[in-house]
Amino acid sequence: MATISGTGLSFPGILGELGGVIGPNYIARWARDDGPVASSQQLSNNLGLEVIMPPVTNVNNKYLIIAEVHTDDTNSNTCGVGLDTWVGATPPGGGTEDTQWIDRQGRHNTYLSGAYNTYFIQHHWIIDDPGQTYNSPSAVVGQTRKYRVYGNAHNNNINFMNNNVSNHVGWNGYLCVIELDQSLF
Amino acid sequence: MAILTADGVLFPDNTELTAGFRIIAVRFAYDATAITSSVQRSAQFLNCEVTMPPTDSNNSRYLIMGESNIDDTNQNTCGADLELWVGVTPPGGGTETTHWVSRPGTHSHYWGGNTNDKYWQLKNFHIDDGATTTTISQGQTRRYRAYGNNHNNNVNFGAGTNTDAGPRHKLIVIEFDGGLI
Repeated sequence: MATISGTGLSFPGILGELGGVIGPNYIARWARDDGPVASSQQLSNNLGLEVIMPPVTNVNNKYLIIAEVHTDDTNSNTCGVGLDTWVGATPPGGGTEDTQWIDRQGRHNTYLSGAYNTYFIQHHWIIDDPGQTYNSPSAVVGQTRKYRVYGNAHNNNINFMNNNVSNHVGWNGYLCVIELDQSLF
Repeated sequence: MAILTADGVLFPDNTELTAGFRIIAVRFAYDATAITSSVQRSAQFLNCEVTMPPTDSNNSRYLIMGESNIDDTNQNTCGADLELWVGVTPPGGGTETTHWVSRPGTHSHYWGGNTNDKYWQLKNFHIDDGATTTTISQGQTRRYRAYGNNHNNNVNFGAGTNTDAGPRHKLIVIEFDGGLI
């Protein structure tokens, strides 16, 4: 809510009452990592890609998640990958973080059996509708939502954020989260 | 120009205030159904459709993000793509015209003669500016869909991928103010 000060009006945040009216109706945060991160298990591996969004101002806001990760298999053999999106929701004022999967592509999402030297570039995008998208926890005003992307390896033989791509320039992996004002939906 | 009233401030409209940095609307659809190809080189609906609100202005542009995956069913030559479609209804109603926004082609992901088991991610990231569909104009209704297509009639779209959870097909459409493009 806007408040009257001695010299004018103050607004609590750009996604407050005037989001999309006199200011942007989105907030973007992103993280990069140039790795590599070797798979240490066949399940989900934390890739070090994490963003913390500003405290929730509207429980109906949603979050567009975009991720890209380069991979290389370590032994030129059967391999598969997928990216999993994760959220940690901390209650207003602190407390126990509720950690959940937003969704999981699965470790076969891109896959090839046989003895090949295999590189993949894996993408993932999804809108987190709090309380609706798979296991996403509901939003609460003041809650802090922390997003991560995990790499899932089918045969535990993957370097995520692999930096050994011939002629590659730029990030080896990134996670971008855009909070979208509820008025957009 | 804004007007000061007894209990607030009135703006005549928000065009000037928001020009150049406003997202207009977002819609998305998910589906978790595995769909087996039934006809080669024929588009199959992936159960993802969004209807956007009436187009905000002639300058609006639409960013479309589609995602799915495939598994070949017989470990043999296969190819596939994810295609984007739009149905456009004129302002006030009338006959809907339908158009392909993007068809990468069933060879766009393809492997000939490979008899190994393979899964691919299908994605299509495209901007509809009206050039390949139909001119964007204020008040239109634009309805977007995601389709899967395949080269050899031997793929499962939205295949189970071992540890997957949540949607397998996704379609996200974002209407941008023309000033953002």
